[in-house]
Amino acid sequence: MPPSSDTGQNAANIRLEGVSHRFGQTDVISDVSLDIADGEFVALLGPSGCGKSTLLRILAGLQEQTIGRVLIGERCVDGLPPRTRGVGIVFQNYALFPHMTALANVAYGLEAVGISRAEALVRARDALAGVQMTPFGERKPRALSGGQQQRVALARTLAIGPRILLLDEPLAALDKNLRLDMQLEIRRLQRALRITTVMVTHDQEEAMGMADRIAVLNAGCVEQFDTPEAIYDRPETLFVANFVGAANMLEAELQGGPEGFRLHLADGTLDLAKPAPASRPGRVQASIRPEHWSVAPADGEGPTATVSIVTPLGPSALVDLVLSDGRPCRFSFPRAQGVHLTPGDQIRLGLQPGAAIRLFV
Amino acid sequence: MSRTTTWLTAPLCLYFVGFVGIPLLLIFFISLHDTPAMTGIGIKGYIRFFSDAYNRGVLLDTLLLGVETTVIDILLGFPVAYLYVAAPRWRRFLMFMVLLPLLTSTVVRTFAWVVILGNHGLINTLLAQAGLIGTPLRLLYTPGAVAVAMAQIELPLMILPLITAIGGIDAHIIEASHVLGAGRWRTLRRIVLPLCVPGLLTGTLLVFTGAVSALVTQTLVGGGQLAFMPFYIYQQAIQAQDYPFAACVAIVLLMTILLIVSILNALGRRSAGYVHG
Amino acid sequence: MSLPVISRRNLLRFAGAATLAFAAPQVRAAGGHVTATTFPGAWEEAHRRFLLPAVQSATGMEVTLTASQAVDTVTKLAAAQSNPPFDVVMMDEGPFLQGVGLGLFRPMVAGAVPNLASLPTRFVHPEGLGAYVSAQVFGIAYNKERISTPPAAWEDLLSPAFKGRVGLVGLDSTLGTVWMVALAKMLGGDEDHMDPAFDFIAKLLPNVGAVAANPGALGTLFQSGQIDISCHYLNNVASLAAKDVPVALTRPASGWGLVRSLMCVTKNTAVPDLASAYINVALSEPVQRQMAGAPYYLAPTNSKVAFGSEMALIAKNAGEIDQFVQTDWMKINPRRAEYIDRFNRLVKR
Repeated sequence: MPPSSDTGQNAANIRLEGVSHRFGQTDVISDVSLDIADGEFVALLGPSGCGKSTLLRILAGLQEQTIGRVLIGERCVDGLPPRTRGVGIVFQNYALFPHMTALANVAYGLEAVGISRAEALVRARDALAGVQMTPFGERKPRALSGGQQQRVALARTLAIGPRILLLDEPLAALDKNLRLDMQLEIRRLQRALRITTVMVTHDQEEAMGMADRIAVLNAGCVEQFDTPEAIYDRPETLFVANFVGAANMLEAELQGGPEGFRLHLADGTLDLAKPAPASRPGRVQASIRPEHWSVAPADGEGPTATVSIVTPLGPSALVDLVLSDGRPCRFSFPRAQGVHLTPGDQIRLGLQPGAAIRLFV
Repeated sequence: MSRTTTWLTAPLCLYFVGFVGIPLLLIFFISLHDTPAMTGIGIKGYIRFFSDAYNRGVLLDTLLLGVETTVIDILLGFPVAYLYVAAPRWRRFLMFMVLLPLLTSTVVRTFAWVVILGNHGLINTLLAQAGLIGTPLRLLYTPGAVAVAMAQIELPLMILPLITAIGGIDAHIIEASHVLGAGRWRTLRRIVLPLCVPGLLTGTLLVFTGAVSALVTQTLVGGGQLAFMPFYIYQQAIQAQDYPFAACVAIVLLMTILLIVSILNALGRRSAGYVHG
Repeated sequence: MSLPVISRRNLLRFAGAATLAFAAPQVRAAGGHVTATTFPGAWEEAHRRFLLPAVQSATGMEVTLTASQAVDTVTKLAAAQSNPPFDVVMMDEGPFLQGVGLGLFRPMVAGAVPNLASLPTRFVHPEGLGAYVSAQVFGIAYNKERISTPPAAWEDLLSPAFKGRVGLVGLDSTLGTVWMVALAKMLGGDEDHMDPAFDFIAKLLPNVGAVAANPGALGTLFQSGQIDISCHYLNNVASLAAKDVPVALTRPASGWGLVRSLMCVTKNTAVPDLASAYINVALSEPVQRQMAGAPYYLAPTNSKVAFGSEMALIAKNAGEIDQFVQTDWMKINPRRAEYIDRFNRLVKR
């Protein structure tokens, strides 16, 4: 059963209005505005130091923003301590109380809000059951594995029935196999409880795999806030294009004409239906993902390249190329296509049909 | 342990054997003599010690002093250590204040207490001027005065391990407690205090052993009407020239302290287990 | 298993040998260096101020002066008899007799101490193992601001007016011991019959404000107003008075008490002649006169030195103070531990 049956009804939307945070002379967060819907799962994705953790702490009420407003369920929570905001947070290192058993850890928050000890223990057992940890209730945290600690931390946070669940790099300390399991587990719980969730991560696969929407942060600013597909397929900024997924960043010349747009790249040209987000003719940075390329017929107009390394990666193969002007470039294709390339091969490149390459000024 | 590191400890081991081990054995050996002239082997000294209510009283008073001093230091030291960790901008000032007693000589500190607690000292003068008392309260030369003076001198030894213990608590654990709905008081009682137990035990160990063996303070603040073990040893050895009995008193004190230290250490290992697992 | 029976002397010798095994051999300056002890406090101050310069100018030798209580000095000497840490030591009568018993001292070098001739005979040890260099007089010390009528006898301490105002000093100190002996003698006892003195203390207890651990602490007690009356030494009272503490000393009806201090040459010193010369300077007229003056008031033992200022109120010269109440330490020493113990139990609260 779910740790607390009434959680879903209490879930709340979050609104950040022009939130900035200064630490000394540095802007850690600059003018961030986000609207997160009721029951939505949002990932704050960015490199370390981008301010994503600070943003989470501001949401939790562990830190007060310098400027701006935070609203939870349409109520301004600025100045309210964590416990009255209805948020629950799972820290990266889980922050379990080392001197208490798993059960006591989970019961702690319930007792803190005035529930009797007996009732708190009953509810704590339910919460542990909700994360499949019933057999481990009497163990101290040090006797639990990383994944088990993670589950206890989740149960402890969810037991108090928060309207908002905050996750700070929840999977960073786990090894890879466990990480996939926990991804599914967290997602399952979040769906079941329909609890508004904000997760901080630097791992794009994690963000892609779990979140309904991703806010990509860079140097304290939100670069893009959209669905995982949109973030990947239609990065709005050079940073997002670079940070999310692999992309070849190639300098090129955009020419526009009545018959359409053409991109001059090395010794070839590529036809573009609708250049975006930049569309003014001139020098541009073209972001072309490896899977956007295809091998074109030798008489095509695309740039030529020399194969230098071929790396088979299970279902696909990754090819390191050198363009005619000496710039490196990557190309990947499904091996099922039956294309055979060996180092030294000269190929002509073209674009996959519908490949959404992105241009930036 | 490698050969090299084993050898590196050799000088310290030799030092301990030569200047602690052998003298202790010597004292133990002396204690096994029945007369001040060191004739007759036996345990008459120990029988004499324990069969006499006066002597048992001296031992109990000494241990009680250790307990009182420790309790006062925990009550005074914990808030200071907590403040030190919680308020980084006050750290330099607090550390200076904490270490100040260590930078003054024992005799000066002790005489300051004489001035404060005397019949016409600071406290009695203030109370008299406020009209609260007619005749001076007897403060100096009381067991309470010794405990208070001891507590002041030993306070850094309580605060420093507590600072380490409190500072070692993961800030996220405190935050987790707050986010889970616990107020400051509950967090202090249920999270901070239990996690400080190892530091508390270290401090208790240092303060207790310091308090029960502090000859100068016990003597100067306690005066001649209070008897504590260290001065009793000195008196028996140097003034009464009864080395065997003095050695007995010393061994009794040593054994009692060792027993208490072992208990505290055992508790410390258990608490360190759950804290640092 | 039988344990070897070891006498204390042998044991201390063993301990001394163990110490020596670790200690570097002492290097002494050839022809002119002695190591001496003095008592801490006023004694050390006075010795550094008057005695050392006089020694320097009279003999040209250098002196290393260490402050050490007599009982501690005895312990140190006993632990290293073959190579004593000091050449000449300052002793109270009690510890001196212990030291004599342990064979710690040697006779002064004949002819090296001509000033011995100026001392009353009783102020020189019959075998020359020590010479009395000074005497301390004790009587009733009282706070003259708070006690308008000077007390006249030790019995006055029992007056209800002094409830909580009387100071005692432990029997482990010389002053405590000699005072108890003086009380016993006043009440018909003596060194071997101390019951009257202990009965007196028992009666006095309700009046006792504090028991000082040592005579020095008595001064602090007067200063802080903790006590207003006690037995004390003339020189300590004088130095308190010099610091504007309103304390005066008065003669008890049973007479002034006397405590004498000696200097002795240690048994195995390498420089017995220099050590003897040091004692000679300490007994010389000028040094004794200076030590007798303000603010030290250490009574001279050299009969040629006339008592001046404060001292003059008490006696004219060393010959006269010899008549004061004195203590037979030969009798006290064997029973000292017993008396200390009895006193401790009596006053413990």
